[in-house]
Amino acid sequence: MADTEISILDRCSGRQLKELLALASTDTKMTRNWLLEIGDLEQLEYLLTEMCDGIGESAGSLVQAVCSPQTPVETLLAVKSTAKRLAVAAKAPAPKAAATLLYHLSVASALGHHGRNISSKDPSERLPLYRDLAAELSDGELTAIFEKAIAASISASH
Amino acid sequence: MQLEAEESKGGSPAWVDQRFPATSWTLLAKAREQCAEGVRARELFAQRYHRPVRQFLGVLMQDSEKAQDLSQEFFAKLCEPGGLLEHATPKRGRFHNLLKRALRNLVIDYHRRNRKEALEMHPDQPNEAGWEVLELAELPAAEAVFHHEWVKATLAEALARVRSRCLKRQQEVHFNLFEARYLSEVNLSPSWEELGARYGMDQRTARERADTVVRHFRLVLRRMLRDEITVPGGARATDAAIDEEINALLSPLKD
Repeated sequence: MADTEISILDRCSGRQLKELLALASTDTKMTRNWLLEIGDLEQLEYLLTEMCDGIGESAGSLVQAVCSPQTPVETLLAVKSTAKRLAVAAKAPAPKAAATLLYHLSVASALGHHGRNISSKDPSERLPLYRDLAAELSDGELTAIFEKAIAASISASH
Repeated sequence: MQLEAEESKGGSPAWVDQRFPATSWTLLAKAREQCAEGVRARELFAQRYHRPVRQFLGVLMQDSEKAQDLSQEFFAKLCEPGGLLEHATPKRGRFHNLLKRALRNLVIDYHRRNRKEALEMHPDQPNEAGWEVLELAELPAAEAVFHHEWVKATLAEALARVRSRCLKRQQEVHFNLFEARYLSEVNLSPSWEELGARYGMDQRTARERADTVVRHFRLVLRRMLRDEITVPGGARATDAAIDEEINALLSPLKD
């Protein structure tokens, strides 16, 4: 723990500490972008685990598949279709977002790592979303996939 | 606070990874080891919990010097037979309760060793068991001060990890905006317009950037709390359980 943070918190009132804690609560009525809330790989895998148990898949393997540049396009297609099924079946917003992010990662990975579009949509349509995810997610490994997809999409359009 | 390039001032050992940060339990497990990493873990443990321990003992002992001596004794004896490390496991409940119990026992032991002084200080100790059971009038105050310091230690740990994430993502300005908005010294937080102007951006951009840090903070703090919550049978703590934990931290705090 850094002394810097403690000295900042020493200056804070009890009300400020309460407000800070409340920021982490899901009770707050603020609107959320659930895709961005996932944040990093660990959380993605955590959210996918329960859903994957139900269909006999391993969340870790799915996540690993979309992150690795060596994963063949056929496997990414299979991950995409699994992600789609999971997103449709999910009831709560957080797991639904996790499945949706896995879907986008499989498409972005195929585009960025293999230069292949495995979606019916044109890659340029997904550029704004990929830019948001690349800028806002807190995990370098995840953002790198979207950054590569953005670069591939731009170079393909030229 | 201006962001600094290094991850933390002391420099964390490799096993205190940002993606899999040390919980109280993993830190304790590491601290049991008789190797260099064990020594480092004990130092980290003392650094993390020094203030709650010191403040709790300060109220119970009502003597700053003795409280300081006892807290040093507590950390020095962590590994010894009967020390906290010998008994601490998630099966025995929440870590902060275990820590407080260990501190109360330390004070009881101190009073046993110094019975004459204890009777002078607390002549009305009413229970028949005497100092076997601690019934100090200061206990609610000690609990309150411990809680306040515990919340601060938890938040400080979370903020340090968030700061590190922001640095890795080149989001220094994002973090500075978050800090200025939520940790500002003045009672009234600056407006988004004012904050945006400081960094040459409009209020919407300023708010969005601070919101990015709020998301990091939420993820980091919830994960820390999730890892501290002990669920019977080793099941995962639910989101509702984490929210309950946040409320339990939040409710006793005074404005």
